[in-house]
Amino acid sequence: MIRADCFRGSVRLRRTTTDCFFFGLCAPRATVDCFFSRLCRLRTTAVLIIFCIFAAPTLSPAYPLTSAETKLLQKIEYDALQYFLNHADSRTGLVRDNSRAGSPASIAATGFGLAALAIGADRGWITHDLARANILKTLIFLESGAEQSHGFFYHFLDMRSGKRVWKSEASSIDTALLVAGALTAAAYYPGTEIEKRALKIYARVNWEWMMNHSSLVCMGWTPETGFLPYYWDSYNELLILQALALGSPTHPIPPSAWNAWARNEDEYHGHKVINSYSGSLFTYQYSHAFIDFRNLLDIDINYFKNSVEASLANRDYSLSFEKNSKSYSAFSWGLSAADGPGGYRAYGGKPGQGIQDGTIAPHAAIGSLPFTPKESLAAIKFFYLKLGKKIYKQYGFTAAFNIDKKFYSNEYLGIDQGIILLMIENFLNDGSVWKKFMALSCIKDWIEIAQLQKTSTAFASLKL
Amino acid sequence: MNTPSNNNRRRQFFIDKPFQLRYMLYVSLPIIVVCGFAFFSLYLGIWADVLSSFTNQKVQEDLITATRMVQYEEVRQNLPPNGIISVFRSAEKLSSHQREIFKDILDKANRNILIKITFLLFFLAWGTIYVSHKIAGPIYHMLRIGREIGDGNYKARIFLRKWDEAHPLALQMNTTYQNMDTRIGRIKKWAKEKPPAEAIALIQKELEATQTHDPG
Repeated sequence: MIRADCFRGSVRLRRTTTDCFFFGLCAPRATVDCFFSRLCRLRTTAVLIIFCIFAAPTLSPAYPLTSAETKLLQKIEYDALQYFLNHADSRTGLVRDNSRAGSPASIAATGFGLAALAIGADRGWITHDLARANILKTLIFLESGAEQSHGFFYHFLDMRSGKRVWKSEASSIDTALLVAGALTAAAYYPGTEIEKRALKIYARVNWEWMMNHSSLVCMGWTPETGFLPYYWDSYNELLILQALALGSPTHPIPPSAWNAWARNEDEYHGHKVINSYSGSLFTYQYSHAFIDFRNLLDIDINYFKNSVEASLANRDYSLSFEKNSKSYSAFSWGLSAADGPGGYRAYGGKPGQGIQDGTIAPHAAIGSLPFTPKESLAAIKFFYLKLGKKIYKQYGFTAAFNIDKKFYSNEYLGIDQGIILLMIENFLNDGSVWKKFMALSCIKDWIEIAQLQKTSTAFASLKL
Repeated sequence: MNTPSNNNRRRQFFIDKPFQLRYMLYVSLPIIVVCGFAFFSLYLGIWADVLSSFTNQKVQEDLITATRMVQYEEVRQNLPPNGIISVFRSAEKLSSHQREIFKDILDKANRNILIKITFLLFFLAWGTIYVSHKIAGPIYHMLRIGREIGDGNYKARIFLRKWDEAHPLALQMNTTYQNMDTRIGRIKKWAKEKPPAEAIALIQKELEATQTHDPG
């Protein structure tokens, strides 16, 4: 079992001694000042036996961080939080989709914002009073002021009035992300009105209705055209939607829905991945910001491991264009949906569509931090130290850059900031979001309904 | 030759100029204020919102947002970016967004005008009651006192409020009532105190000074 812990100013992702013993995954760095890692490097059976006997509860650091690395990650997390403080409406609490003037509110960004406020208070960056007040204000508005249909919020809302704008759809995935954020915030303040209201918003969502009498969950519904002709039919960020819909206490979808979507497997550079159509990294990250998949098996699939492989494959795909593009290198990777020089596109790697033009989204590598800490940290340091002047601004890393086309976005997206903040929080602070979210009764119900197997060895083959 | 209708025609527009001017003001001012408020609220409200919603910057922002919305949809629905179709879809988004803006502006203007009109109607209702009271009050008092005089109470007098209309009329009527009161009082006194022959003579003399219809 792997755990992250923050102590003595540095962070450790740690593995139990039994994992280490059986799978030979000792600490990778010689610089780690940990007793167990030094023992491991001795590589003698005798020592391991002695260790297993006498030091069984001791944990091994799997990915040690230097103090500077920890501080950098904390700074990025702190700066990302500022987006949610400065781009939330003072009356409704709704969060702007992006930092550009005239942007409407996005309900997914609002969901990430709710979780971010609770995390910010937990870190001591804002007061609990402020966090509680802002979360409650937002939940009250979502409950009574924001436009919705059957509990599904419209994708984009007017910041001030909460009315549907841009003829947007009542969105299933964005509502799921909003509910996930609300439930996460509620988990930080159990037994309060925040919890009561978050559960009420969740209970109102009629997930079954969104199936439109089919076996899959529809992407959305509009008053003008009814249900969209698009369904969540294969692996991507749908896991969080499925989890909340199956675990719903009021309007659950049938258990058969869990097996209705396709798990398409493909391989790239030796990485076998249950892949999303686009191959965008965000599809392997969003659900994992809330759900701890490390020790869950879906028959023989571990989705955490899958995201590790997908991240490495995404990086390898970038590197395959290293000679053609100045953007890519071993330290500069991350293909995910982003606002590039030609507009917002579903950049991604293989397996998948593999759309690339040299545009890198820094949030992609950061969002994979729990999956590929070594590679992600290398990228983060490169982005910050080498490109920081161009791409690191008020709220941290901007949306995207493309060195070939001399494009450096000035924009921030709420969902990018959200995934950055939550993934760093999980990585730095012992999976704190995961722990809270996994303790929710709806998630426990989902695990049972989907017949996921809990295992302590499922994650053992990961190279952390 | 004057026809009956010609006889009834008002020959002078201003019989009592200050009085009429005052009432012209009382009636026309609230109407002008209400209409003016309603009109300018609607006009300025709409135009202020239209101008602020369609500045160059706003239009530019909306254009970018419309494009972005289409790109979001294309990414979400795994649709390949298609230059021309994307442009049309963006234009459609922008157009529907602008309709939303206009609808919001009109809704907002309607809400504003409804609030203002409600307030102004309340003000108008209060004003008309106040103004009508200045006329209705004296008429009511005059009718009541007239009835009392008719019933034989010659001591009754008309008392009006300071701002009531028809003060000269009430004064004149009170003088009339006073004269009647004095004359009848005198007759009563002669009938009571004087010998019958002298009393009859005095009463006859007093009554001859009055003009009445022949009861005949």
